[in-house]
Amino acid sequence: MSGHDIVVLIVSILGGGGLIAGIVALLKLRPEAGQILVTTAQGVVIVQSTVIESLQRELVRVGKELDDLREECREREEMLLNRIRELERAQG
Amino acid sequence: MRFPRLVINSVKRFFGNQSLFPFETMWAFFCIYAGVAAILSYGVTVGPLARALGPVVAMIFNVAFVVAGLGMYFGIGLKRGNLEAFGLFLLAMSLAVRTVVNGWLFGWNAQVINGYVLNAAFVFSCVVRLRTIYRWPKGVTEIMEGK
Repeated sequence: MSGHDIVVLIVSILGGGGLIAGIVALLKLRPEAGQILVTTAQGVVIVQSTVIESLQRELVRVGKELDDLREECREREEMLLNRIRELERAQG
Repeated sequence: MRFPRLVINSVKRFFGNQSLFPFETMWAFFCIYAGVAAILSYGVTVGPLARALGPVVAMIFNVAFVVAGLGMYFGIGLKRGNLEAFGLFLLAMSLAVRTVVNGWLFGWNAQVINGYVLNAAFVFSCVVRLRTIYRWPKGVTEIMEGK
């Protein structure tokens, strides 16, 4: 095998390998590029959904607390009004 | 009136993307120019590739050089990692082939060694850039998962 044959062999291997690698990169990377966007969007949606659910639960809890407070205030108001009426009757 | 505006915005975005990678874009443009000059034999008599492998094979590699440059140029401008990677692989392959042929034709001397070092530096930068392109998807996913 002469030096020229060896050079031709090496060039063929490098050339063929480089071309195949380039074509594989051209074809293979494209679906992943779309997958990046999908994965990123999924991550954002998951984060947003979790935050929304947590906020909704907090809203329900605060609403319930507010209802309890209103009920308590109403009962106290009624109690105080009854006491005032009793005192007014007692006075006079 | 909308169509010209669309074209102008697209062109602005194209060169804006390239402005983020000026050296790579410049090198891609040079590859296109050098390949075309070699194909047209403009300033080039008979190159090492033609002497070693014949004019047809040399023309194929010159075309590959142009295609590599185009892939990189438009891959950077259009933000297509796959296109840029295609160009980088072809460029690395072209440089490796020219290195081998120069070494075989001219032997071991200072000029050839200088050429080897320059080509090795370019091939190394191609490999680093390819690694960045391939690793980027994982980096983005990790950031989103908070890792």
